[in-house]
Amino acid sequence: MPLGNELLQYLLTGLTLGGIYALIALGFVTIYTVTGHINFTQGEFVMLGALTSISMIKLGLPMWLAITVAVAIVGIFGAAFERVVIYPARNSSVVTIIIITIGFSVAIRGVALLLWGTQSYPMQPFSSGPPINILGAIMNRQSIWVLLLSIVVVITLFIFFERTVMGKALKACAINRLAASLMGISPQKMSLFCFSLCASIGALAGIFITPITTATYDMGLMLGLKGFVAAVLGGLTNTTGAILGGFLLGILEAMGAGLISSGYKDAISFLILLLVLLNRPEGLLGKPERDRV
Amino acid sequence: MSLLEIENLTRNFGGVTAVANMSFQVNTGEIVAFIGPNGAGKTTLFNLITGLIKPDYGTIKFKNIDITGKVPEKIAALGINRTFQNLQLFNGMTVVENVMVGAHRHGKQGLLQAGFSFPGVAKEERFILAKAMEKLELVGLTDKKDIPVEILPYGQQRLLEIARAMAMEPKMLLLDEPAAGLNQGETDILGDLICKLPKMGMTILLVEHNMDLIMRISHHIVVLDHGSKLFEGNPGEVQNDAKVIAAYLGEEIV
Amino acid sequence: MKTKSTKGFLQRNLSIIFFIAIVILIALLIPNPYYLGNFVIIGIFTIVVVGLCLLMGYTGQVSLGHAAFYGLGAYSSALLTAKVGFTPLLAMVIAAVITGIVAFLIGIATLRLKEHYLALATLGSGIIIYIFFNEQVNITGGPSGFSGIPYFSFGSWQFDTERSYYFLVWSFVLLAIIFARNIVSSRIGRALRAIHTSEIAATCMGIPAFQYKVQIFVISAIYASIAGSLYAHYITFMSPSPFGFQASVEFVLMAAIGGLASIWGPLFGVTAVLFLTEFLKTVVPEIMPSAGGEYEIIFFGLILVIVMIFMPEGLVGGIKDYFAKGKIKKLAIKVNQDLAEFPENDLPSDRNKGVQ
Ligand SMILES: Nc1ncnc2c1ncn2[C@@H]1O[C@H](COP(=O)(O)OP(=O)(O)O)[C@@H](O)[C@H]1O
Ligand SMILES: [Mg+2]
Repeated sequence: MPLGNELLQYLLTGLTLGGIYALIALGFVTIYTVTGHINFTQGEFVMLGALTSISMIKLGLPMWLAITVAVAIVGIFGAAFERVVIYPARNSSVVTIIIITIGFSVAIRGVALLLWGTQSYPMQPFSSGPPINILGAIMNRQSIWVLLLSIVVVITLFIFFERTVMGKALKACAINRLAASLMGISPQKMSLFCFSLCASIGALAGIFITPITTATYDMGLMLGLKGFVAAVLGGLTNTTGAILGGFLLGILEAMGAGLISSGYKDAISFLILLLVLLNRPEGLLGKPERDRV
Repeated sequence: MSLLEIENLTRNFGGVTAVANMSFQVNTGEIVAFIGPNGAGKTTLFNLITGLIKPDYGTIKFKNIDITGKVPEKIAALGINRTFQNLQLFNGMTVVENVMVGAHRHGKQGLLQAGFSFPGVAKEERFILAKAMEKLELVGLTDKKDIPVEILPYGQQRLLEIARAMAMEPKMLLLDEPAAGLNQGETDILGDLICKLPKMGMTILLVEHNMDLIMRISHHIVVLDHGSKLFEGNPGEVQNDAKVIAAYLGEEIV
Repeated sequence: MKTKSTKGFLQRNLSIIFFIAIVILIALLIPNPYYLGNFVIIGIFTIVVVGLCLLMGYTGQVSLGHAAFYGLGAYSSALLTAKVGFTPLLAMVIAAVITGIVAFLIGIATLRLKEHYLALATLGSGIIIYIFFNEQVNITGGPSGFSGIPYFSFGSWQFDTERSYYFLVWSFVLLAIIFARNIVSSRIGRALRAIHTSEIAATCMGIPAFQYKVQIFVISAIYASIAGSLYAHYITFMSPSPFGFQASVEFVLMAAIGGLASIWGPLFGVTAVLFLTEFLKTVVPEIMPSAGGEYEIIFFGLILVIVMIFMPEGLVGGIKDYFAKGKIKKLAIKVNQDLAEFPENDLPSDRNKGVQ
């Protein structure tokens, strides 16, 4: 294959990966801006979405209904997680919250292992047909679904934050929690809603990627970390940054895997992360913050 | 002889100019007070001198050494220490431990010496403890030495911060609103304490809102407004300057 | 005079003496080498976790990549002894130096970051090193690993039985704890705690916060490295799997369960977690015969969450708190009584009044 084609191929692969990373990063950023917590459980929502929808399909539900039910279940799970785990610990230190969410994600992974075992579950692509040829590079039909999903989610979120009362309340919380609570917005309700929303987005990401990657009980670990990396690359408090960070990470990773070594692809993404953090701790699009005395 | 020389010091935060083109000098052994309304830039000035933030423009010279833009620990090492408007005590430690942190620089033993418990370590520890106890005595907190700082009453926490800063035995001590939240009795003790410090070799920069205290103890007053130096003089001059009276002192002085 | 100082020494080291007695007692009471083997692992993990507590509990700096330092120590020792032919003790020292240098480089690069960012940076560094173990097949043997690592020896002294290894490892644990205790109770230890609560105030007191953070990061990496060396000569087979992100997380969890800001906490945290794991491994299959794999991590995770919510200071901190509460209450009452002697006392909310 000529180099041009090869690069185009990596770019397409990278866009697919990037779409998923962007969605997971959105979850991190939304929860972080609204509640101030980093939720290491985000990756497990992705896994739960994927495996639950597979079980629903096995139960005989039509695919789109199975997906809807799975997203709803994970959304409710996200809310329950907020109430039972995050709410009681909301005043703890940053480190404590990090440890708690990591601990809970370990527990969820254990439960998934118990329920679904170690095998990987395949899933039918959403639309059948041969891969699409774009200028000599090949793109799965499912990849197009993934890209469509990320675009739809981003647009929906944008409308939600800008046009609805609930969305504006969330945004107010993100800008200034104290001021928002003085205005009669309950940060606790917002936190509950926000976890539920981000769990659902994570679940969607997991379901859409499964026909490409298959689903396993431990898929959430790496996906969650990559989402976090993408979020930090983008600045951690910046929705646009999270999306760009996701796509940037996906493309760099695909290029790295193709041009350098597939074994080192994760090392490459983390190296890029370190380089960005060292030069711009506030991320590519974030604003520097200072300690105030 | 001037100990501290500040020239054209400027610092902006976004659109706000917190310190604007400020110049002044402080002589050794003086008590210099900085007054001005909230937001005038007093704390920012202290943050600039102690290296917590970097100036956009201007120079700071201490003992004729240019310390502009140096890191806080280097500046502290030259003999500058401070207290904080919003208390920054080390919670989770006892009263005496807090002061011992202030005396940190009296020790030389490093991490490895401490880990392997070299002979010098225990001796040094006793020395630091003695220094700390001496300073606690000065602020009258000796009997509270083993209490966790969190449960100390507010006024005593303020005194403790001064003791902690004194434990370094700095040449220059910056006090940011030390009397805030103190009752009359405590304020008097504080005033007497500050008056004694120059004799112990310390030069004092003081930010305070309590005019009685300032008029009683300071040798020199700098009036700030919107980041600029509005007026500078001895207490008598400040008290008689019409501009200052009109703008800041109001009836309280009368 | 002499008796007085001996008494002081005994008092100061009561917990150490108690500790040594328990270590010997366990060796005497447990003749079964398999169970003694569990205690070897507990000892090795304790060394890592004590180092981690110095960094996380005392200095307040997160590391989610410590398993990589543990792995660097293990791989360096394994390679230097099995492939180069160094003696285990020399290899252990060189391994510690290598790990220390790597930690120093990572430390100066990342320790200016705070909280989430530091967590992610250390996590990333750890994963990069882990991938290196997997991918440098011609050096490390890749995922399938290599064997032929000799037992630990000390001149002609071979530590090739469970019992001798048990004593070897726990001697190192003892040294690790004493070293950490000495640091914590020194001026450096106070400085570290000061950095934890207010880095700003600490630097204004002339404490070189960044320099100390790097130093303690290196020390805690060397702790992990030594534990890794001990592990390599115990297992005598090397593969990357015990050194991944999962392991880093488990170290943090053990530290948190024991109590981050405590020297004895790691001992309790590691023991509690490993015993629980062993217990669940035998009990769960009887209740749920169909279950396979490492499902016991469910309980591990849940217990951690519960401990962190209800005892954020960990087991040791929680127990200490329980006993200390009464004492602090009494102190607080006394202080308030003192306060009441100033009737003209201004309330703190009155501060900042004056010229406006
Ligand atoms: N870290 C900071 N970030 C942004 N603005 C700041 C910061 N520190 C101070 N300011 C601004 O600078 C001005 C001076 O503040 P400050 O020095 O605290 O005043 P003072 O101590 O005299 O009350 C204020 O307008 C304040 O809002
Ligand atoms: Mg101020």
